[in-house]
Parts: sequence; structure tokens; C-alpha cells
Amino acid sequence: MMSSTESFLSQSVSHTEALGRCLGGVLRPGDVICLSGQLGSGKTSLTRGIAQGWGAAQAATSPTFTLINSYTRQLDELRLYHVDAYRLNSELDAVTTGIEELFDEQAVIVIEWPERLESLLPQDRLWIDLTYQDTKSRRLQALAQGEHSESLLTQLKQCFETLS
Amino acid sequence: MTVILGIETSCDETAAAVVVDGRVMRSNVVSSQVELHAPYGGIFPEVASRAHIEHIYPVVQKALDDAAVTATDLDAIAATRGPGLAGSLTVGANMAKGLALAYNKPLVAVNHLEGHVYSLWLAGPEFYFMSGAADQPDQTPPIAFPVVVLIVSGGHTELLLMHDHGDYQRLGGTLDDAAGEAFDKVGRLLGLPYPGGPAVQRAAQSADPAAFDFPRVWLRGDQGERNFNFSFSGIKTAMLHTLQELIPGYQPDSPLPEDAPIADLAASFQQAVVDVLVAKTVRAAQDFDATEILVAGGVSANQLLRQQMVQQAERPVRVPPLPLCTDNAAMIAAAGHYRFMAGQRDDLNFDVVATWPLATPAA
Repeated sequence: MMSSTESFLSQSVSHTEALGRCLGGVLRPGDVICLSGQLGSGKTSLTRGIAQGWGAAQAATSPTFTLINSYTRQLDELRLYHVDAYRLNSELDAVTTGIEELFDEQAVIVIEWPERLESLLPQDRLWIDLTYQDTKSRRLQALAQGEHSESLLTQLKQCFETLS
Repeated sequence: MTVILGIETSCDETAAAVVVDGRVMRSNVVSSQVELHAPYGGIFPEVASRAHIEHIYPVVQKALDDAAVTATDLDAIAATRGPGLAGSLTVGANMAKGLALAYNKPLVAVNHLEGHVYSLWLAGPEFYFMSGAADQPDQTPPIAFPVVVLIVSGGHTELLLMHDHGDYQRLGGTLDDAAGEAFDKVGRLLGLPYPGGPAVQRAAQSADPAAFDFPRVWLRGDQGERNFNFSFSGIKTAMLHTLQELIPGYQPDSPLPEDAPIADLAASFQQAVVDVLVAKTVRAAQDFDATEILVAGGVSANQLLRQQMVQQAERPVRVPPLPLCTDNAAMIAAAGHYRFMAGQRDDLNFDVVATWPLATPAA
């Protein structure tokens, strides 16, 4: 299968959010974005930008307790699901919690702690590893698997270059 | 007299309770999935709706038995409709619908956040604190509107102005992590057990709350305008930075050295969160001339939050007794009572709602 990687260095929280807004602006129904990284690595900041760029009516807040937050946009009534698998113990949990069913919907899905439900994820997905560099900066390592996420990655790269 | 069965399954707890006249708790059963798992090393509670399905029938039966009533004695059945996890909410809603259909009882769908508000209406000895007599709960006079309500838990941080029963104005809420979530995540960074709220409070006991300077996020406008929103995501990252400075090579989930100042870190973190929660709530009460301050939700169990709120409020403060801070069904039955008395009846085909703000933003 096709796959490619890109690495981005975000200088600040607002830089991470701006990258998120870029990505959010080009997402289409069925897109799956996986955000992997430790506490404080910027997953929620990136998601806040993604939701904003996509056009969510509300600001994205943390789904750690609620597991799934859903947002709609007025433009076309489409949905964005923000999933946090941090509190899941098993992939069976993901199935019985209804997370698996989200992949059948025509919606954008952003997943934090995606490694907890890896076997349930669709093949074509954009996987971003966020790592802590220093107090302000974070490294974003993006892996695109599949045709559609490859095109997302290309657009993300172009966007990063305009931001820098 | 109204006898109402409440059912709550919005998150981790499967709960049922019987409440009379919205105030008197006849039973309150919580099948805490945290308790079930604690003996096995404090792993996360089972979040699957499967667990609710296993617990719902015995929990409802026990609530009826403990109250010495049968389903035929009920005046109505109240169930949480949202916000929460759709799969979990459906289990409780379906149980309520089944009982309503089988026993021909009215059905009342309740907002989980409104349930937390009504935990303050349930009669109990620990409810009412007057400034100046910080730790002395008094007799409970009726609540006089308008009141400012702070709902603060693992999943929610909401500041509301309540004008009357069912009449809310949202003043603000968290822009990122809920306050209780900050306690859990910081607890985890400090190597403390889950859930983080009680663990951080315990670790912070008799430690120095000024040992470390964690950020207080006020979100004031450019001209210093007031803002009743909260942000608790940055303090988690600040804790991470502090640990990395103190302990070379520190990574989340790596074991902390024995001499790590965990107690002072916990105390300083707790102080920073409480400072912001109290200052914004008290300011809102002043700005909107609230007669009282009500605090509800899991984090309202925090002793420092209670003490500091009472000291600074300049008006009575009500806080639920500890068992009613965390998710329970007595609060759903209490809220259900007021909705029922106001004439609310819901159809057997009502849908659960994952996202359901209690009130629209303040104009």
C-alpha cells in the first residue's frame, strides 16, 4: 500500500492550532485522523484547530470523560466526531461503546489515543504522532496510509509552508 | 406527595434512586464501576454500555426494595436523557421506558447537568455553609433565587446563573479540559492512583501550596474584561514541564524518584485550580447579585474548594454531601420531581442526546 511521511515542527500552541485549522479546512466525510502522543503533547490543541477549520459551530473541548464529542456545522449539517480512547480498556470496549459504528457514518473522525483501537481503524487514515520537544515546541510526524490520506498530507505540507 | 424513581447511566455509573417530593431520599443505589475495579489495581472503570446492561436491572430493583416501594407506587419515572455517551444513556432510558409502559407511569427525561444542580435540593445535614462559620453546616433554609451554580466534575465545568426552577443562563464553561479531568491527568503525571481527585487531595495534605507557581488562567479580555470561561489544559502541561525540570529524563508514566516533591506539587496544583474556580464563581455571584452560591459535581467534594468558597463567598454556599457529589440517580429523581410538577411528560419514543447544553450563552 502507498504510504508516505512528513515531519513538522510546531513552535507554539497557536502554531499547532493554525496547522489544525488548515487540516480541518480540507477534510471530507469519511476522513479519519489519528492523533497519538503523551499527555501535554498537543493533541487537543490540534483538534481544536481542526474543528475550527472544519467549521464546527462550537469550540472543541476534551472528550476524555465523555469518550465521544460530536460537532455539526451549519453549512451542510455534516458531523465531526472527536473520540478519546484513553479510558478504553480493550477494543471490545470500543465496539460496545459504539465507536466502531462511527466509521460507517459519513463523518469526519478525529481520534486521540488511537493505538487502543488500532484493529478497528480503517486502512486509509492520516496518523500523526505528536512529541514534546521543549516547553513550547512539538514535533508532528505524519504518516499517510492510502490514497485519500496521501492527498491530505500533501495539503497539510503546503499549508505548513505558508505558515512558516 | 410524589414518589419518583430516577435512573442515571450517562457515564460510568449505573444508578437508581427513589426520592419523595424532590427532597427526601428513600434510596440511592450506585453500582460504581470504579469500586468494582479498584481491587484489581485501580484500572479505568469499564466504560462500555455492556456494563450498564449487566447492572441496570439489579440496581433498579435494589432502589425500589431499599425504599420499600414497588413500581406501582411510583408517580413518575425520571431518566437521564443527556448529555453523555449515547450507548450508555440508551440503557437507562430504555429501562425507564419499559417500566413506564409496563406500569403505565409518566416518563420525565432529565438533563444530567440539571440533575447535578438538584443534588442541592435533596435534604441532608451537610448542605449549607455560612461565611464566617466556615466548617459549620447550618439548618437548611429554602434556596432563594437567583443563585450562581458551579458544576464541576470530570466531564463538566459550567458556571450558571439560575433565575428560577428550570431557568438557566450560562455564564461560562471550560474551553478545553474539565477541572476534574485536570485532577485525573495531573494525578497520573504524579504517579497517583485513579481517580485523581481524591488522590491529589490526599497527597496535598499538610504540604506547601505555594511551593510551586502554577498558572491561574483568567482569560481576561484585552481591556481586562471579565470572562467566566475556564481553561485547565495548560496547567497539566505546566505540571509536565515542572516535572521535566525537576527530574532529568522524566516521561509521563515513568516511575518518580522517591525524593520527588509530590506532596508540594499536588498542593500547589490544587491551589491553582481552586483559586480560579472560587474567584470566578464569587465574582459571578457579585456581578449578578446572587443570593447564594451552589457547587455541585464530583470536584465539589474537594475540601479546599469548599473551604475557600465559603471563606470568600460573602453569601451562603451550598455543597452536596459527599455521596451526592459524584454521579447518582437521586439527583435525577429530584430534578425529575420539579420537571414533573411543572407538567413535563415525555413520550416513550424520546431519543437520548449526547450533546445537550443546559442553557444558551449569556447575551
